[in-house]
Amino acid sequence: MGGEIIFQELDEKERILLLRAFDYNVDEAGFIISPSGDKLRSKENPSRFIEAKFASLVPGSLEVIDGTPSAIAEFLVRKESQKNDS
Amino acid sequence: MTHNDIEQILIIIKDLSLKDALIYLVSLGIVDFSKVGYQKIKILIQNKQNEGRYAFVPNSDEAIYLQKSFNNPCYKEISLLVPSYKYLGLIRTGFLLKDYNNKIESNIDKDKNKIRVLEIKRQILCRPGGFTLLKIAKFPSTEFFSLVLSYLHKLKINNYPEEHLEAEFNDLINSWQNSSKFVRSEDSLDNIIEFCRDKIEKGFNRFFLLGLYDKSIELIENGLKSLKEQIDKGEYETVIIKRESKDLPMIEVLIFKNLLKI
Repeated sequence: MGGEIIFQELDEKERILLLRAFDYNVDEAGFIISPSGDKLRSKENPSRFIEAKFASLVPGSLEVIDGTPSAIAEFLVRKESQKNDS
Repeated sequence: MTHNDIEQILIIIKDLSLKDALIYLVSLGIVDFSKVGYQKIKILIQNKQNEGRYAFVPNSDEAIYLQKSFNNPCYKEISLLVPSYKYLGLIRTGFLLKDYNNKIESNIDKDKNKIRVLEIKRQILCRPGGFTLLKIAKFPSTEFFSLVLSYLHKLKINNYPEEHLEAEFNDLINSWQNSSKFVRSEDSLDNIIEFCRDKIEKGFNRFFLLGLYDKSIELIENGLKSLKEQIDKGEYETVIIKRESKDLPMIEVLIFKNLLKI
């Protein structure tokens, strides 16, 4: 098996091509469209849509997350609190 | 782009890493897979992404679990014993499956977790060589995983080279059922003696016994006493690992030929 790709290693065009291989798309404004045709919202900040240039992938997965620094920080805080709750 | 052009692209990107394949496709001006004939390229890219290290596409919680399993003591041990083993990521998938199975046994989201386990197994089976990959992923859930780690550990102490440990690990993933006996309390002494004799007569380089609870432990110890002469004659070494726990007393027995000693 090959190594795991780090999404951030890819330039925007390659990133978008990979997303398209999994039926995601990107609209004219650069926002990611889910396979069901909806604009993808940031889980960390639901009022914000995810832009391809800031998108990130959960390592080892094709789950697209908001990769802006503040969203990553919120993502980690959420995971930490889930861990403490369990 | 003609059919031949696409076939040529497939040949080129087949052996490239995912990153290099994407860069190559973009350099050819391919920005999506909507054109006729691009479906094959799309599938190849999906396969490259999915085959990653876990042989399935984890969701975010699973991805975090898999990352944290770097700290699992069994994982630490196996990665010390066979650091170059190319399916170490798949062993971590095995820990995830084990965790799901434990939840199912404890009635935690039983139906949901059962469906997820089936989906993970289906994804693994869809990979090239899926049957073998699934065998590897299921191995950490077996009772013999810890026993095989003990055996590899023993080989390492005896200065066996890493390549030999890896070859043994690969072989045992495929053949552990054949070279191991899980002794149950309803087994007879004759069952154990027969199993061991068969392996000795067939010249197996190693075989294993595992027993839980007092009755099985006693059966195994008596079996080893009866077989002492044959084990010695066959130039086997015996390593007995006993865990004296009130809740789950256990015995693991490794019987193997120390090829370096001979």
